[in-house]
Amino acid sequence: MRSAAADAAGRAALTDAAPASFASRPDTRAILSTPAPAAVRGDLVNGAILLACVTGGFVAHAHGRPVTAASSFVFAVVLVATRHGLKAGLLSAILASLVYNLLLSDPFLRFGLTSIDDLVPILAFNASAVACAYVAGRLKDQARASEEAQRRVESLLTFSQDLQTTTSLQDMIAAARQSAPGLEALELHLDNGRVISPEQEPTLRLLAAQLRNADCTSLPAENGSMVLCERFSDGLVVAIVPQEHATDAAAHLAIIALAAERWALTHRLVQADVFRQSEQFKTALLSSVSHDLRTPLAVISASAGSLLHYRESLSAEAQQDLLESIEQQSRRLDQLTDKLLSLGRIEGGLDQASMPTVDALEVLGEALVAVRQAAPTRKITKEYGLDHASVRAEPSLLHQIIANVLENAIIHTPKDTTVHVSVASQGGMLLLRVDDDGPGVGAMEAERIFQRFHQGAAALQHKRGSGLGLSIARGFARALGGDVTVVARPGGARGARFEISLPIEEESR
Amino acid sequence: MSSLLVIDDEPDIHRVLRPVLTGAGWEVLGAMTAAHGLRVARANTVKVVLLDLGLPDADGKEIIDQLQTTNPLSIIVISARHQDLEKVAALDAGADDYVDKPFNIEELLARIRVAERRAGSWVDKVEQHSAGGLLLDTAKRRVTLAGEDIKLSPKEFDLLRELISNAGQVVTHRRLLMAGWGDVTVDPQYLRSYIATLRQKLEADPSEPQILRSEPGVGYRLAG
Repeated sequence: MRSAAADAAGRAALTDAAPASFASRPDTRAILSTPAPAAVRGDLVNGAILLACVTGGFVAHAHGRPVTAASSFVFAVVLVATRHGLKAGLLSAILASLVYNLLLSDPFLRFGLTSIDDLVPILAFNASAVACAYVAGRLKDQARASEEAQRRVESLLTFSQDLQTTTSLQDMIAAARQSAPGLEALELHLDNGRVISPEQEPTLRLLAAQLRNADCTSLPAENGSMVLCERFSDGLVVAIVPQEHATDAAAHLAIIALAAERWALTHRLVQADVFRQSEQFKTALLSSVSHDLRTPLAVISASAGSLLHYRESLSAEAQQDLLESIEQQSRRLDQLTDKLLSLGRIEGGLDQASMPTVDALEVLGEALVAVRQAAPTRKITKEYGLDHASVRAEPSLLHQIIANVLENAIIHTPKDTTVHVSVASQGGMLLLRVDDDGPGVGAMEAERIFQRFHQGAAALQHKRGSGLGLSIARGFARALGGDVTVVARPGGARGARFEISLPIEEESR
Repeated sequence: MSSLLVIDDEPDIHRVLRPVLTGAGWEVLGAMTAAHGLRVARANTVKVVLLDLGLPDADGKEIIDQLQTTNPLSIIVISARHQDLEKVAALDAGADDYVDKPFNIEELLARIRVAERRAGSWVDKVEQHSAGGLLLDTAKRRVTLAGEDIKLSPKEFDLLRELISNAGQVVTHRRLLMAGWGDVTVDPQYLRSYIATLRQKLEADPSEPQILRSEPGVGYRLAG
């Protein structure tokens, strides 16, 4: 049963609440701040209705029209009951009964049920009140329910629109945390072992493993909470919510699963694209290998042959020269073999889940030491926004990504320019940036430089680089859930910025 | 003359290594299989073993244990690059160091010299260790870098002692966890943060360490 005051408050709450989110439902706020004036206003209106109808009743009675008089009383009771529910309806019915009995029916100014004519109006007043209040109450409940439902649908719609614009799983989780009510925990557990969680440490690992074995069936958790689970092709969305928010959260989870599915499909499309290119790749590889492998082999073979068969006729200086070129060309062959093996691994696909976590900054440090040894005169500056960033990767892969991008910057820019290395994190991704003061990369060239066997003009001139480094760096980075891209330097500075992005498992500043 | 045993199934590797190792003063013994390698190690006083991991009759790391029961010797594993897990397994099984194939001959000889020193101090009674200007006095638990005192916590000291007594050789994460915590199940993040503090104290630029080098995925190596 509802009181008129609570009803009025409820109405006020509904109109207030329309644009609000699930997270902060304003019912309690409305009840606390608005009931008194609304109730008073309601009572005044009720009073006026009663007064008008009772006056009408008297006028009708005075003109000898008892049916009209009784009807106008019923009308008053119906109006009040419809407007304010059972309690107010019954109250007005009792009032109407008293007034009718005292003033309109005989004996005048005295209570008494002398005839059936006295009883029927009283029964009619009260029965009308109950019936109208019941119907009105149901209507109100339905209106309230449909407004609530609409609000939920709108909120889910906004949420799903928000998800459309997110590109990373991390952002999806963040958006869900904002939109879904009362989430105690929400994590994405990919089948490859990666976990996306808003917390530093994922908390649902064990649970996710159980759910994975149990076909993702949602089940009740401790102290009135529910465990919810949704599957998508690459993993599970797992959440813990209080019982009362389970329906809303389940809808959110379904939307997240859809968005994650879209994410997974996009990833697979990229991979399919890579696969499509692999035929072209093999052709290009064969033609390139014949050239790139044969050149150093020719030098080695000729040098060794000369030393073996014509040593007597060669000066000591020439002999030294031949020996050095054997060593040099062997190193070149070794590097090229490494790169070809890497391409083979990218083509074959990599299983990131089986890889350990490594400190990317430690790998960066070693790569920098090596680069400085190879190019001791080159000025390299650093700016670290992080102390430590773990990523899931094989150390040798990570080393190649970083070393190739660094080497690219060194090879393709003039010797007297500076290379600037910086480290930051953004949206769960580690960003390793290598900026240079060189000629920059034109918009036309920006994608081509990542293609296999593409060589910049400078590299062709100086016969350095294999045209594979950036392609390998990007191939590995993408296999690790990241990327390598080239962008203009911020603030319109001269040169290019190569950005390696990789998903962070753990970081510290 | 000290003996060095090369266990590798590639005849060309023997052919190219023998002259340069002989030139460096070693008596060079060779074996093409694991079984043969073990026999040669038992029959001779071998000081250093170069062990290829891919042998026809056994996985190289399976004989590390047996090799070491024959003599106090140092084992340098020769592995293909990108086999981080294999390397770590071999090192944890007791190998002293590793060299990637194809190796730079100068680097190989340098590693052999470090291994020889280690094999010489098999029963380690040396109270003072030094490497790269670092001096660590075990008895006094005192560390100096280029003559200057370095304040270290007990755990930092234990880790540095492990590294310095293997100076020039890689020390796996597992061995460092044993040295610092006596427990290999300790979260490796602790080790990482202790190494970071050590670098703060020892390195000119801790983000590009020159003394306490990383071998990502394998362990750490004190330059020396």
